[in-house]
Amino acid sequence: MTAGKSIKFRNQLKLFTIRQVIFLISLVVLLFALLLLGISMGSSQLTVADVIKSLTGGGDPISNQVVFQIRLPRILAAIVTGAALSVSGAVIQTVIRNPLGSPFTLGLSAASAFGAAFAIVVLGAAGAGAVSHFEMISQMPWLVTLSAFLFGVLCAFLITGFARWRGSTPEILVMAGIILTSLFQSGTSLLQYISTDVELASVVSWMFGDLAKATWDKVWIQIIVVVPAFLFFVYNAFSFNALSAGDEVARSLGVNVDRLRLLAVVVASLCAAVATAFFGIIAFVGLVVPHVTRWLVGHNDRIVLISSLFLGGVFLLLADIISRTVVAPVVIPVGIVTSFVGAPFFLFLLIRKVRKSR
Amino acid sequence: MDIEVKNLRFGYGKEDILHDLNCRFDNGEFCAVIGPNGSGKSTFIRLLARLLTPKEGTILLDGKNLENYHRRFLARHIGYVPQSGGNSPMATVYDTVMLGRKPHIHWFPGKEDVRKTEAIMHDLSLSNFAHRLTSELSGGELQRVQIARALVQEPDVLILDEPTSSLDLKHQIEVMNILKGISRKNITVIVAIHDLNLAMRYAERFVLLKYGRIISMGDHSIISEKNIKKLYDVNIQRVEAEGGSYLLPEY
Repeated sequence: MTAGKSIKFRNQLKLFTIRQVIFLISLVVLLFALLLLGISMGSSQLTVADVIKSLTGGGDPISNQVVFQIRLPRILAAIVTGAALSVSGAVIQTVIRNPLGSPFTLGLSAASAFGAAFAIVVLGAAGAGAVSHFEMISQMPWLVTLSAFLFGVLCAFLITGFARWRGSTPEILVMAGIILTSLFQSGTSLLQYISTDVELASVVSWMFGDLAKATWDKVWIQIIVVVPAFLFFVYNAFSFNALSAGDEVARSLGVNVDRLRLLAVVVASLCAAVATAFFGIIAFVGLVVPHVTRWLVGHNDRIVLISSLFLGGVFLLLADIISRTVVAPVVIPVGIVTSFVGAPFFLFLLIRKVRKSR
Repeated sequence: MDIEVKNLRFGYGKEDILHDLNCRFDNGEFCAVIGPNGSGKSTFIRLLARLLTPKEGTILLDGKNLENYHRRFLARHIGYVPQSGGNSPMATVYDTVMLGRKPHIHWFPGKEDVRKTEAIMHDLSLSNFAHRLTSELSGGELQRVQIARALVQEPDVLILDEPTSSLDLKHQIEVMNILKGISRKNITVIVAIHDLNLAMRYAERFVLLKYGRIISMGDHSIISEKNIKKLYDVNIQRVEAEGGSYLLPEY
């Protein structure tokens, strides 16, 4: 190769990285802009300037109250939950080598829903006497959240058990996910069948992924779980790339394939379990965002993980803003908005696939 | 690095695939493992790459049991190229080759990793399509990418499973020339290979495997009409000509 070509090659590599850096910076800017916009929107009208004043310590007491006690926890919950679900989805898609992978593919949402239903129907934690589902949600105690979380964790450990029993191959993990989803869904159906009207309404309300349940406590707990999990994923990003090349190559590169796959599934499930236990089922985020990220930045897991984190935050924050404005003053649960995204997204994937194969 | 195989046995369940293998691969040698389908060639070289664990016996790398090395250490010394697959179709050529630096990297690749990746890509003429996806490559290009990925590991031993099986004649010769060049750099090259003439042309030592047993090992002289008959149950004629020996099967 001539010296000129060598320089061109180096420049190509540089450009590639610069493009990714620009993309990441744009995402952070967009996230911040949406954060300000999201905080300013709502029944108590604030301007973006009011929000900036409050955030920088110069706001009036009422604005501060609205910003810090009502809006900010919800907005941060949207960002952290979006990030957690997206990164979990990206990791699970890689380790089970399945583009339709997400934390929910492994039975997590079904398990958490069962956990919530179990607490409401069996442990009697329903919002008794409530007249609307908002009221019901507000009356739901931590018992429901804890039960949903514990069943989510149980699901992750059952997956681990299957993998230890039959081998931690992508096929076994997907099969185990299908088995557990079916098992927990039928359990939830049974509980719904034997429940009272109020309990049934509570279970259904819980299942709508809704960020109205956000509080500062929940945001902090999520951050405590998501930050170390994300660092774990980024540290292993190179190993995830190796896994994409096949188990044999990954092993020859020094990766402990079985241990990494299981650990990744458990940590990703934990992130998603916390989010689901707090806010209910917010579907499609863990599936859609990693796909869009790979479409935009390529398939290198290092950049995919970091981009998914920010894009997940942007996606759910945007969905939350839509959920609060589309039929304002009524706020619809954000899980419904994200579910609506699923259909056109798969249509888009289908069109791309058809175009490619022609 | 030298590899010594002592009383190696391997199998799944009760059934053994490899029975009591003993052999040695010396530093910088180009060795071909030859045998019919199902003879255990791929299993044998996977054991050498520590991708499988022996049922009995030991494989010694410079006198120390392979199982006693840390997996990261082994990955810095043994490179492996599978027969097929071994790459993510959506990964770029550059990212696939860079994967070979995995045993040397903790968080992110450093300047040295980038330099070594670029150098090997340059040596194997891959620089011009650094950002092409591996799914867009031809069989010959993909095999070069796989070899480059293994070389970026800076191995002392390079193990390849039928590296020429899906290539046309031109690319078979190209890949074998690359491997010959690698063995000249004091890297032990071990290939499982079906093409006897290609093996005769490039390898210095041969291990003949049948039904999981070594029936012979040594230099070119063991690729005899008698041994090939024993190995494949096919009559061949070994013709000595200018530039080397050729095997002509009787059809």
